[in-house]
Amino acid sequence: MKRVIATGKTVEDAVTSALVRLGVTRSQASVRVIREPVKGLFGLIGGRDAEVEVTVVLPPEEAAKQFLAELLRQMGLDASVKLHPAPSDSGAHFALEVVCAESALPFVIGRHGSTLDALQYLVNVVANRERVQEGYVRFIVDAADYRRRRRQGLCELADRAASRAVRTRRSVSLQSMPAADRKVIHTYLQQRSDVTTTSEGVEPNRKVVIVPVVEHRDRAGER
Amino acid sequence: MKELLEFLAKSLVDHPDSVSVAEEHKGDLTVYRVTVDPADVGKVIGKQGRIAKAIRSVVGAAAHRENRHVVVDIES
Repeated sequence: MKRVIATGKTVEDAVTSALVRLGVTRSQASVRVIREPVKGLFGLIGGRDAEVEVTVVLPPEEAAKQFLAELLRQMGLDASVKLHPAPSDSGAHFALEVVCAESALPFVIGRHGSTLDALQYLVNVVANRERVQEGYVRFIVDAADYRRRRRQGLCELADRAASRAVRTRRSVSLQSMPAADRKVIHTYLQQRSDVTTTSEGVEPNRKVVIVPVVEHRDRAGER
Repeated sequence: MKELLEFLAKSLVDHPDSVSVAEEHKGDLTVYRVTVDPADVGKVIGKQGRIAKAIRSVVGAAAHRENRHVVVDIES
């Protein structure tokens, strides 16, 4: 966050000089008066200038973008950040795309997207830190289209595992994965009537279990 | 790495001037002690330690890049 401290004959003078130095308009800044001016004798002796602190208030999406770019830089990664509107079905407002060399992607994404999720969580916390009344602004952080590719991969995995469960008439448990990934699988397999899904185990080793729906012949006869 | 932690902590707290990070090397392992204002501890740890977990994850990724192992402790 950019802030400067400026002085002037009046509070208004001090604010104006601070705004000029910051290069922003009055509506983009918040002002804190450090010291009211004191008029001296004949305007000469014992007078004190006004002192103000002016802070540039960034819109949350700009704050989020700057925070993420600086965070990546501090991580030693040569990356830039692009701001996009979030996909409408995501429930988020903005998507931040990390653009970097392919060799740096594993460090940005992490195992099963764990680093990407951590970056995303921190971006959301920091960008919404001073927004209590204005409403929460939700961000997605993505790199190299990872989130869409991951979802697609999970759905394919779910289909294969479901088919195996049906074929072998046994439950199939998947690898342990984060809650968001499990949800993708639960939701996706809702559309199949030949399997049901549950989750078993304790975080962080919770895993999806796919259970084939067994049609008991005797019960089927009753219906 | 120390700057990264300072940046993260300062971005999260209400009293950035009270943030300090101490670094201690134990063989292959580097231990970072992040100290914040007592009023800000919750802002760095978060509900169920979610913020602390995210900080460790990000710092861990940066350390992994340099083939290092790090531990992050949070104190007030």
